[in-house]
Amino acid sequence: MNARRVSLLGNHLKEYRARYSLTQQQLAERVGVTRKTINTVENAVFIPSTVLALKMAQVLETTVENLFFLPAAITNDQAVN
Amino acid sequence: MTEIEKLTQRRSLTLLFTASAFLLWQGGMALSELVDMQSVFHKIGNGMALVGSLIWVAAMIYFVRYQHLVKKARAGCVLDDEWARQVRLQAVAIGSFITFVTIAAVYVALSFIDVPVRGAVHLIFVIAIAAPLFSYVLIERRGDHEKGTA
Repeated sequence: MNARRVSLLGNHLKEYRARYSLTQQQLAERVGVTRKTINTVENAVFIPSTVLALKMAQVLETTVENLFFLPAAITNDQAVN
Repeated sequence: MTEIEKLTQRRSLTLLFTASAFLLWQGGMALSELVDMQSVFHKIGNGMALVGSLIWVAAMIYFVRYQHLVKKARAGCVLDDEWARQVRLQAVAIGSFITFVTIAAVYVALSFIDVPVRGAVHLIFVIAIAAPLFSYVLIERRGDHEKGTA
């Protein structure tokens, strides 16, 4: 929703959807949310809950770690701290 | 467009319709309470309230129809997903902030000008209800970036 949140969590959702030829709507139906939720997660506007992340990973036959990642800037900040 | 997508759009439309009708109806009443009875704004306020009340009835019928469609599609859980809950929380937060600012403004105004207390309280009440509803629609629309394809 805000700029701070946008940089908190990156994702490879679009690439994985493309791999399985799934539209946002189709993925949304499979995990039981609206297309808007998938859209906002994909655009890094909204950070999903652990349950939703696991459901998406399950549908896309991958792990949550493969689907989501911490952007380099945040990882570096943590290393400094 | 799928059933859920249609219902999501209809939810935004229902909220916008309901909030606008409420604002016209109760805002008109608040306006007529705030100004002098001989003033032209008093008549405008009464007119707004009358038209608004009729639109409010139509909005309630539209709302009940929407509820029926959600029940029929058994889409309640899907429509009230994580993103919807997040938007709702933000809308309530923004609405609370706007209400707080209104209360502060009315409080300051009461020190300088003779504002009818009943009208002022009514205005705060109207804003406290309308602001979160409009905020919800705006946040939800802003969050939708692009249509998904394969």
